[in-house]
Amino acid sequence: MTTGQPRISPLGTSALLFEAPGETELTTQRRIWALAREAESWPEICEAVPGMNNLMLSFARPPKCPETIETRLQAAWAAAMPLQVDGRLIELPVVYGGESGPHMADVVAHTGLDADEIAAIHSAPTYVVYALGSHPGYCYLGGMDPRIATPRRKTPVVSIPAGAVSIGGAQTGVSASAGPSGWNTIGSTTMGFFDPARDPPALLRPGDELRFRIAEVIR
Amino acid sequence: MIEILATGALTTVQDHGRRGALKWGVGTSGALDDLALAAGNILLGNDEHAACIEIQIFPFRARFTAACAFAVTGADCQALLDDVPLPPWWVQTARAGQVLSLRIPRQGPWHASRSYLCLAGGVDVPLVLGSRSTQLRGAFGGLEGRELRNGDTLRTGAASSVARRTNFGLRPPALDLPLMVDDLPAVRVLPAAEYAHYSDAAHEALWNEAWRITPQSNRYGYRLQGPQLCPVAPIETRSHGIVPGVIQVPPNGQPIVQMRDAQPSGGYPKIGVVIEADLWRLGQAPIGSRVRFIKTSWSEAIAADEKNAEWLADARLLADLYGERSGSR
Amino acid sequence: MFGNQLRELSAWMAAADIDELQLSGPSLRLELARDGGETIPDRTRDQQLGEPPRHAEPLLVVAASTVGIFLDRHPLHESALAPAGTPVRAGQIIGLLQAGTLLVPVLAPRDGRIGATLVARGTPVGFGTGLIELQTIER
Repeated sequence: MTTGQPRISPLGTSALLFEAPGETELTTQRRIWALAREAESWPEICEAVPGMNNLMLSFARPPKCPETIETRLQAAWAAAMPLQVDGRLIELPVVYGGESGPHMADVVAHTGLDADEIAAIHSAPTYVVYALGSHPGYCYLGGMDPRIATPRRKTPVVSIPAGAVSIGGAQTGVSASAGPSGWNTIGSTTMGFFDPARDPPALLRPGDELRFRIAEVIR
Repeated sequence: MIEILATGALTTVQDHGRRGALKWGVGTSGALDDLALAAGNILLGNDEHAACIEIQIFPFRARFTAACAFAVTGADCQALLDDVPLPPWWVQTARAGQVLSLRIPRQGPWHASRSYLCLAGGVDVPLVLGSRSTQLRGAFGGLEGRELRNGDTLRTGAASSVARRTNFGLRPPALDLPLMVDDLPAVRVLPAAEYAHYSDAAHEALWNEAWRITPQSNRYGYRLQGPQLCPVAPIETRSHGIVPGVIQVPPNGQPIVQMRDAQPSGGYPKIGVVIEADLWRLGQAPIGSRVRFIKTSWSEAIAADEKNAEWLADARLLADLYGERSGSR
Repeated sequence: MFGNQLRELSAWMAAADIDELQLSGPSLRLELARDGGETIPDRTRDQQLGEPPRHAEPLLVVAASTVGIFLDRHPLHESALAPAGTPVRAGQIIGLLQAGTLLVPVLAPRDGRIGATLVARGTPVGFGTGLIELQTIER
């Protein structure tokens, strides 16, 4: 998290990372969406990829002088108005705990809450899809209650399955396919988030909304 | 057309990667040694986007079911066409029925671990989101989104229309573009956003340690072993886009270099980024070997890209001059 | 025809970083330099070339098919492709010519046994330079 001014840093010469200051919040994210839309029209930029209150700009070709882009980026940010998106609302049934949530115990230990409380707090909000990333179709969600925030695991787990509902720090998300993860898996859902034959291939996009519904809590 | 007779795990179809799909959480994938792939296509007169087979576990055997020009680049895997040895980084023509065998790479002046089998016309699998690279996590691209297996058959696309000579080769770029520090292969690294948050001891370790590539290293990431890299104070990061080459430092302080199959975003702090121009060097470094990091600048990184491009341009010029000469074989 | 070949040769020289090239034939010596060139009819060469030495078995000299730097082994390898005494098959790679980053094979024209290597590894050679002796097998 950066305080004060936005921070721009290189990711090698392949991309630039723009990080908005302050706490992670939706208004900032809407401005990030606006910034992404603007930057993607620049000839130097291959793709603008929003993250959690940040934006990665991948270069079509690395510029000789990154400072020029940085200046343009700062100016574009200053002018960026929060983008309103006509999002859809999707509801996912979740089985919390038990074998579906192998790390529920770690979240219980860290927060001091029990599994029922964690499930209730986790499924209360309407989450906004802030960005896609991590793996095909995976959505980074905003709006999780900080009471159930739990740090990422010291050593990432080799594989968690598709549909795994996890908490990493102050964020939550649902895996779209099996793979490694440093997050804490508290539940499981079924959903097809990605189909490469579809256009666009991802089911959800930034601005859509997600609700979790408790199907069951296994203690 | 070729038939896979025997392959180990982790053999996949790759091209130079899938761009423009990061916004959907789709990483680029692509050949770990992009210079080897490019050189193979150059030897064959292929389009630069032609896909190949990346082999990481040896031995590997395939039968050509139709006459086919092919090139094997990357690690010196002592290729045999039937019983005839082929030099490394060489293009040759196979007759229908001939068997190509790739054996465990020998380590000479250059230590490498992955070989690239390129075919005239490229491996013909469907384009998915603009690329033929295998996206293992999403199970699409390449051949059915998976590793190759014994019995798989692969078709080739249309070869270059100009009849090409074969039976010649290229010097491996590792010899023309050497980069070593204290007798160890080295890669150049640009500091990343959280670099300044690390201790002096961490910086010292980053630039001076001979980092060992642990057995838990693969196309997703290279887990390195060495001194613990400690931040001055705990670093909070939010999930953000990353690229291959990003050196993440999880809480255990052991750096992980994200490679071509890495997820396109992450939340661990990043101390530096291996430059794109040197990713092929790292991608070839064998398990158990050690590498050095060289601190570099933006302009040096751009210059390194240009040197790679020059090497490829020279190779293409010479290969086309020689390969397209009409008349004698 | 010759003009085309000269142009090709020039492109080769430029790409392979070769500044000077001399070609010798029965009645002609050709010198090419990067900034120009001239041809010199040289009749004295007729006497110098002479007959190849006679041996009990026919001895061939495998000559360079192109300009380049002669190598007896691949740059990644320690051992020679075809040491003296090695039996070889027609078409086998017995040496390499390096031009810039390109590697062109020196091929045994017939089955035989490798004799002496006439040129040291790393020597720049021209088209037609004798490289490797091959004792062919009478059939």
